[in-house]
Amino acid sequence: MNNMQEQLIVALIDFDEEKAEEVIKQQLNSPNHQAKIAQLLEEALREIGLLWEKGEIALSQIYMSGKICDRLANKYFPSNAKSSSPKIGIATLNDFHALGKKIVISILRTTGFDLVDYGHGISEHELVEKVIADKIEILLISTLMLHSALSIASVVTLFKQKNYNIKILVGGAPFNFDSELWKQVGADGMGKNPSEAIDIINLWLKSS
Amino acid sequence: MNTSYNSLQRVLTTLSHKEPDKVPLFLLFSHYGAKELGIGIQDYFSNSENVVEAQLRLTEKFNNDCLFSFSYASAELEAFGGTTFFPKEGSPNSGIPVIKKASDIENLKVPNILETKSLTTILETIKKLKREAADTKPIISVALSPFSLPVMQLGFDKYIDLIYKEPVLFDKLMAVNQEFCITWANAQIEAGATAICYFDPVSSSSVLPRNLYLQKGFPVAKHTISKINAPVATHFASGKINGIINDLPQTSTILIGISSSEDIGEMKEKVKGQLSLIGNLNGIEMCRWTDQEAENQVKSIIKKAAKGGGLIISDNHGEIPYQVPERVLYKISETVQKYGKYPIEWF
Repeated sequence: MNNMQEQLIVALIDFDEEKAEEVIKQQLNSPNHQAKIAQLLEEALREIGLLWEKGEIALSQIYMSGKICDRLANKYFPSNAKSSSPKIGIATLNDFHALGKKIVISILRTTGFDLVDYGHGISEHELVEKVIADKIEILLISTLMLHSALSIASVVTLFKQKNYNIKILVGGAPFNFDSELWKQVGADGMGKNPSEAIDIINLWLKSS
Repeated sequence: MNTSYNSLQRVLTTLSHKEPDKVPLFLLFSHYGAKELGIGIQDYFSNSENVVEAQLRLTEKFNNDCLFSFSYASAELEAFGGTTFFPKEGSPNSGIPVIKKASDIENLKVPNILETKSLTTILETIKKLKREAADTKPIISVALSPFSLPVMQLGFDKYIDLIYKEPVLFDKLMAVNQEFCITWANAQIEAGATAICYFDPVSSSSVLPRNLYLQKGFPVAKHTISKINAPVATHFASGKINGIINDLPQTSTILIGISSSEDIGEMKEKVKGQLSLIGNLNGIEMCRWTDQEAENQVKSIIKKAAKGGGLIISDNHGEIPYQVPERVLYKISETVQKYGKYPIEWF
């Protein structure tokens, strides 16, 4: 990790947006600066995700870091969507706790993935219908409550009944407390943090 | 010494950092009571008779050392005009947040608990449990921390934004929530509750860094707990507390919930003689444990943290999930009875 990355990470976890932007601005005069800024933000968020997983920073810090990076990415490269980005959807099922979903959205958007946000509190049937209508290829489901996590099994069943081929990636507290739960509900993968979710998506894209 | 203790004596002894006859067991049954009675969860909580019957049955069945009057967290949100979503087989969850804009906080008033049916039902439950328990079992009641209630009042993301960016609105919200929490906690004590579980997941190190906790959640806890007229346990609903554990004794809490993600032995070393611990069985994994796994998990906690008292065995979230098979609960209870007898000499 170089000095600039370290400064950015410290600024993000301290919720110092001004300092974070100062670090980003140091890249503005370099050739191909958009790509460099994107890489800087992506690597900082990856490190922050790992720090969270190790218990060294708190959920609020990863959330605020994601928000700052999302704003900076929009300001310095408003259209950074990857040309090869698959159609990705995200939702929180039967639950109004949307913090996890918002963190994932910020971080995925910063790293160039475009997402369709199906909101929170959505039912299994409604979600499946909308996802099929939008021809989504990868669906991310964020959960906080155990019953919401378990209801992913119904989503998987509904897609199967409709012969709709989709990859489902899950995450959130119940899955972090039971490393076997994602398999039990029939998901294709589980991300312990947003960076891991990005790695899994990239892996799926390579193998498709 | 192995004299005969009832549950209340057992719990009070361990809380005074002495060894009773055996390690107390708190299986915290809330919506699980509906499964026991074979009725829907919303119906179950609508009548105090249901909760009393289920509590007595479950306590007897599993040799439980407490009666738990808690229904569901969003009962308190209902007092502020919120709604609750009742899943078929899970913990009731809060509906759409009631605070949508800054003026909603500016105009927020402390609600009257006696005008909220879900809360008066809990008070009736406590009174009936008090008559049944006849001071042999502690009645544990719950009050959401004023600092954690806003997760439901505003939504988790909006509340984190408020904590970081809106100090004036934050203080206004805390003033209302603190008055509500103190009134609600003391009403439960007056109805017969033995102790209050101050449910404060937002203060955990999983959610906030320590510096922010010291500025925000800590002073709220210190003030609120000082006004509650009974012993207070602080529970973080599976959240880690490694970053703040040494600050917690100053809040006047006497018992703290430990996450299954943390080593209960290490936690005990840090606050030995100052705070007792409750935990830290993994409530999610518990849904699929074999008998052997259940036994191993309970034995591990006893081995790490039972010596010298100051320990209550429980799940780490403060609620047994609907999906946990009775077989697992019987095994947990049996293991506590077998391996939790003081003096503990089996290892």
